[in-house]
Amino acid sequence: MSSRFQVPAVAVPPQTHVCWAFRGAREFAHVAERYTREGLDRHERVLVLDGQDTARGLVATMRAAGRTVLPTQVRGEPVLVTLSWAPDLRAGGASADGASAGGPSADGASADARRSPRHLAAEAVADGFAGLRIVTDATEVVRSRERRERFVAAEHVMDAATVTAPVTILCGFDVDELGPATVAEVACVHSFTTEPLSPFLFRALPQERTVARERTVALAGEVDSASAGDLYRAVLRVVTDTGGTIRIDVSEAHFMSHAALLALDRAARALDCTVRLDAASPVTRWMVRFLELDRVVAAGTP
Amino acid sequence: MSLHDGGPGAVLRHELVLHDGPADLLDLVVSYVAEGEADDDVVVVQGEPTFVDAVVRAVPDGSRVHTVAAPSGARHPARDLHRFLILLNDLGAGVRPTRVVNQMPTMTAAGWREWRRYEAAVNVTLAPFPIRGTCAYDSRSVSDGMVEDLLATHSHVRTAQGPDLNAAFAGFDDHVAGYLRSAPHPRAFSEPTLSLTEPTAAQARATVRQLGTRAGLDASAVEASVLATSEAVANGRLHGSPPVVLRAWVASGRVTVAVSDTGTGPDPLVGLLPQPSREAESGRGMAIVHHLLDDVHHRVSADGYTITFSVSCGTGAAEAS
Repeated sequence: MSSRFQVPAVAVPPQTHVCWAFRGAREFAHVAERYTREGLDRHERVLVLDGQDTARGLVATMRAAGRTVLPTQVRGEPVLVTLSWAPDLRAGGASADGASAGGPSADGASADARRSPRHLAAEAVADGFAGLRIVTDATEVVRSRERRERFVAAEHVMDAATVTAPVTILCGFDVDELGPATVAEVACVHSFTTEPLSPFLFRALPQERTVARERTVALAGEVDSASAGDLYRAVLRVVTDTGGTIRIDVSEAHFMSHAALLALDRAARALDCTVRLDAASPVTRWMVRFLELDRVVAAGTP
Repeated sequence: MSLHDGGPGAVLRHELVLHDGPADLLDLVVSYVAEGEADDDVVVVQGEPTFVDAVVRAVPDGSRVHTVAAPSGARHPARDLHRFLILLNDLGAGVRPTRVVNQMPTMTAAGWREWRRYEAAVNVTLAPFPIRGTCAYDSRSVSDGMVEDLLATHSHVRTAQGPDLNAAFAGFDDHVAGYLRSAPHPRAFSEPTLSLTEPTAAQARATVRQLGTRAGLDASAVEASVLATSEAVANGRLHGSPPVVLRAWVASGRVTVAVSDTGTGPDPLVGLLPQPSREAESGRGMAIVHHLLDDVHHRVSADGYTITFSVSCGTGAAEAS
C-alpha cells in the first residue's frame, strides 16, 4: 500500500476517514483524547460513538476536563456529544446521501437520514461549528462475522460522507484483540490507515467524479491472489445498488493480479452487473482480454 | 497431463512432417489440403506468408482455406497456442473435422526449449478437437535432439506415402517428464544485483518494481516484470518448498529475475496447459507470464526448482497495446 494513504491518527486534515489499529485501552484513551481535543480546538462538534469502556473512559476524561458532554445530540450548542453505537448511524440508510427507506419526519427527512453522518455534519455547521468529528472504538462491533459484514457496508457510506461533507472520522480497532486479518477486512473500506493494515483500499470518490446511475469507487494499493478474496467480499458488501455498472477507478491500484480480476468478475456475476475499470494500465487491459472476462471491462486513462 | 494415444477413438491426430524446404513441403501437403476441401473439412494453413500464398494458389478452391500468415520471427509458442485455440473455436473446429497445416518457424537451439514444450502441450490442449494437425519442420534446421523430441510428441509421421502411426509416441510421458531438467539460465553464473530470502509476494513486487525503474525500463516492461515476479513468488510459497529465494540481475538495460524453491517443480508443460474454468479463483498466472514475456526459463534440478525470466524495454508492450 502506498504511503500516501497512511496518516497518523491525529493532526490530520479535515474530512479524513482513518482506520486506526491500536493496541490496548491505554493507547486508545491517550490518542482518542488528543483527537477529541484537536477537534474541539478546531471548533468542530465531536461525536463519540459510545458503547465500550474505552469510549466511556474518553467521555469521562473530557467531562473531568470541564467539557460539556450531552448524552445525545440535540440542536443547540453542545460541543461534545455521545451516541450509543448504532449501525444505522453508520449505514445512514441505503446511500451516502443518507436517503433511506425509513419513515419521514416532520422536516421531510427519514429517521435514518437524520442519523446519517452527512445530516449530522450539516446540523453541526448550522449550529456554527466548523464541522463534525467522530471517534469510535469499533473493536466489539466487528468481532463477529455477521456484524463485521454489516460494518463494512456501512463504513463505506461513512467514507463517502467524508468526501463531500465536513466530517472527520477516526475508527479504532484493537488489533491485539481482533488480529490483523480481521482488521484488514475492515481497514479496506477506509480512505486512510495509520499503518499498512490492508494491501488495498476501496475508497469513496468525490461526488463530482461519480457518473449518474453508476456506482463509482476507487481502488488503491495492490490486490494479489492472497487478497483477492477480501476484494470480492468488499465489493459485495459495499455495492448494494449498482445501476447495472460499477465503475472502479484503478489509477492508484499499483498492482492487480489475475486473481483480482477474476474476483471482480465473480463479484459482478453475483451482483448481476458489469465492472468497468477506469484508468487501467495497458497490462491490466490486456489481462482482461486474455482472461476473456465477460463481466469486467477495462479502459485506459481518458 | 492427460494424453490420447493416437489410436482408435482419439480425437486429435498430431502429425509430424519433416521436409527438405518449402517446395518439398508444398508437394507433401497440397493434396492433403485439397482432400480436406473435398471432404468439407475446416482447413487452416499457417506459416510464412509466401508458403501460405503458395498453398492457396495450388489447391482447387483457395478461398476455402483459412490462412494465418505468420513470419518466422513473429512466432511465439504460448501466444501461438492461445491464438490457435481462439481461431479453432471461431471456426467451429470443435464440432467439424479440421485439418491444419502448420509450417513451423526456423528453430534455434535457444528457442527449442519452449517450442518442444509447445509440441507436447498441443497433445493436451487440442485433445478435445477433431483435428488432424500437421506440424511441418524443415529437416535442414532441426538437430537430432530436436527430431527425438518431435518423434516423442507426435502420434503420426506424414511422408509422401501418407501418415503412419509413430511408435516413439508411446514414450511421451517419460520423455516430457524431463523437459524442465534444463541447464541453468546463463545469468545464473554471475553475481546477482540483489537477493531476497523468503520474500512475500508484496516485498518481491516492490523490490523488482524499484529495480526495473532504476534500470530505465518503460512502464509496460516494469509492470510485466512485477506481474511475473508476483506470480512466481506466490507459486513458490504456495506450491514449492521453502526457502523461496529471489535473485535479480540488471545488465545492459535488461532485468533478469530468478525465483527458486527447493520443491520438485511444476508440471513440465506449465504455462501451456488448458486454462482452469472462469470460476477458479486463480491458476492462470503462469499462462499469463508465458504469454506476456519472451524469455521464460524453467529448471528443475537436485537443488529444487527455478523459474527465470528477463524483461527489457518493449517487453509486454506489443501484447498490452
